[in-house]
Amino acid sequence: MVKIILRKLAVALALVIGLTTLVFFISRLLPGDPATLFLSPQVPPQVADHLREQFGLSKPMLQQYVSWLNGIVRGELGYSFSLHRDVTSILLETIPYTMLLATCAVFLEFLLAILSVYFLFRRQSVGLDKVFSYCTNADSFSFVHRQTDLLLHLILPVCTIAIPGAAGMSRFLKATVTQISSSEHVLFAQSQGQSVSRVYFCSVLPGAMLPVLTLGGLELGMLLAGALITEQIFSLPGMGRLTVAALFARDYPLLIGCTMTAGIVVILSNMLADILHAVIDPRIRLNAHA
Amino acid sequence: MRRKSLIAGHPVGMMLLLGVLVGATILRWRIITASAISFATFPFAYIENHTRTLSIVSIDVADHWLAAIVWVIVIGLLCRSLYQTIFTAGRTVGSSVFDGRSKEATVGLLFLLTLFFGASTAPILAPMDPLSQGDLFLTRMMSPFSKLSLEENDIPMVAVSGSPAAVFESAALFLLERDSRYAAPSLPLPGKNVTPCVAILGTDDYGRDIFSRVLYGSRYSLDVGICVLLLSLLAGSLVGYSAGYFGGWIDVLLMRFCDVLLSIPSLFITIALMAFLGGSIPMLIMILGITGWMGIARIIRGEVLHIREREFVLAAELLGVPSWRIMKDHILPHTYPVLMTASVLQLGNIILAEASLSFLGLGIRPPTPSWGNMIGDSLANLSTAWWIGVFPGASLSLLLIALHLLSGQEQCTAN
Repeated sequence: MVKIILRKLAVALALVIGLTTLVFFISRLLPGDPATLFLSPQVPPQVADHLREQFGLSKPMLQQYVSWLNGIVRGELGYSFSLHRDVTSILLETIPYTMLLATCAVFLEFLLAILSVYFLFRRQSVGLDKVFSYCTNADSFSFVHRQTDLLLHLILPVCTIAIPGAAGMSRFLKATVTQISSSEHVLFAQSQGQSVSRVYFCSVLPGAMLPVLTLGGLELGMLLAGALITEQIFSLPGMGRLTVAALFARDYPLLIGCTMTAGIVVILSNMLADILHAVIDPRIRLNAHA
Repeated sequence: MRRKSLIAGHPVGMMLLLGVLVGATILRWRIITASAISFATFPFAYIENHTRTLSIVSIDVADHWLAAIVWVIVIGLLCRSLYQTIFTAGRTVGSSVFDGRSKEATVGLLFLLTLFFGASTAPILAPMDPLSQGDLFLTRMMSPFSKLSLEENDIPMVAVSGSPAAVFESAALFLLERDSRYAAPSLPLPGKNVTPCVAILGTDDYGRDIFSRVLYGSRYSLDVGICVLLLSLLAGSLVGYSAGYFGGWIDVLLMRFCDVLLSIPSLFITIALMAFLGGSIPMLIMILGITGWMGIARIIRGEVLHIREREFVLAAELLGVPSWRIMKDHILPHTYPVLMTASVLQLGNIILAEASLSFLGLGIRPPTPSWGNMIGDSLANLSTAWWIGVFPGASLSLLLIALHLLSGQEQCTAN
């Protein structure tokens, strides 16, 4: 068990390092540095050089990278030009809103997926199956939702994010439920005369949920991207809106901070989903020991 | 559980669809439409006024005509293969996929073809220029089905109902000039009365006809979508096939790289890149292509690894066939169906990503109509004029649903 967790941690660490490297080089290799961005062309070049010196941009690239990484480890993401504050403190203020939104959405997704597949399981008629598959195809209904539901309140952003996600998730869950419902222990439970809901919730679902759990970890990345738009529409003071604001203000440190936080959150949630998977499913533990 | 769909199961149909996509991307819609019009109207125009008609024709127009003919042939072939797939179901090997589900795929495909048709003939179908505003006091935010009375210089309408010579003339002039903004029929024609036209879907807050804008917007969605798809197919299949083929540390390296890229929420990285690199349409295509290939690469790699285990590959290996030939002859063809399904789905994702970017004001910039920026613009007036945002939103949703139906995705959930 410890071994699995350690391995997952190592993978996550490698991914985070890869991510930071990527973000750093994207931000540095692209044209335009702060000195040329903020100084007018009339300013003598010495001033620009001085500014570069101050920002540490005159050092070699590798040294810059190391010091930047050093800052990140200490939680210093730089200074936002547009809000005139520390990026870390801004992010700490806005993340709770987005996290609230995302967590609610994930729960709603699981709930909707489990319930809708339950109704499918109860009544395995072809007609319902058809209707259902049409509904799940409508990933993009959210765009219409985003249009018409503006006037209503906080529950709507969550629904807007969760409904398309739930569609994908229930499609996935449907596949695993179909797979598991033909295995012996389910047949045994059915032959004992247990009620359909008991069979579904006690025998089928525990096994079927495992792969879906991993999907839930991946889903968070989608949710963060969804929040980017949803927060814009519903005017929520979260990270998505901050990112867009940073973008239009050309506030690069803030933008990089947001991108990186989102990436790290996704990596961590994937790792947690994997570990949780290993904790729940004994097969993985046994495989790791073998 | 294998993935099946109408197109994927039919090699000819698949190749033709790819051909249409490539052709459409290279030749561009409006040139094609204008050349088709000028080609078709040439004989009539010649009969009506031959000296004048001949004076317009030059080698420039001729090469467009050639392109138009190719385009028409490709469409015809596509329709033929479709017809065969639908009506000779069960009789040929290729159409063995035509089981219960593919009704949905047919619906999706028909919608998609309709949209392609609408997009490529937008200059004819659109009742108005998507940019013309008319008199703002009269035309601003009118509800659907209200009448627009336009001033004389605002009527781009009419077009096809003019005399053949006039239509030919304007189409040919468009081809020769190339720099005019929209295709030939939007040039005002002489001797035509001003007719009030109906704004079917209403007008937006600048008085522009929403129906026309939705039609023109579909061009940009499809155009960007297809270009990005080709780009990400190129990158994705390069990485995926080489990872699956070489295996070992190359595989590990490439897939870890994919993981890093996948771990960043792609919309965030796209936005960051758009901010750094600035946003023109080619740049948008490049950036979406850069951020969109990982999924395809992973799918291809998985499929290659999966097929490698099959018996016929083992048999070929035992017979001593060199590995590159096994790859080329035995593995590659078997990945096409999956690749096709994945790319249809990817097309939907790309179109949605483009719409999201345009919605945020980063993709296609405002005066140019695009579904995303129309939805974005509508937010300010959403409580008073619902029709501004709902129609582009609905058409986006319909397009995405059609793509999902086409891909037959509900059959491949397990992998």
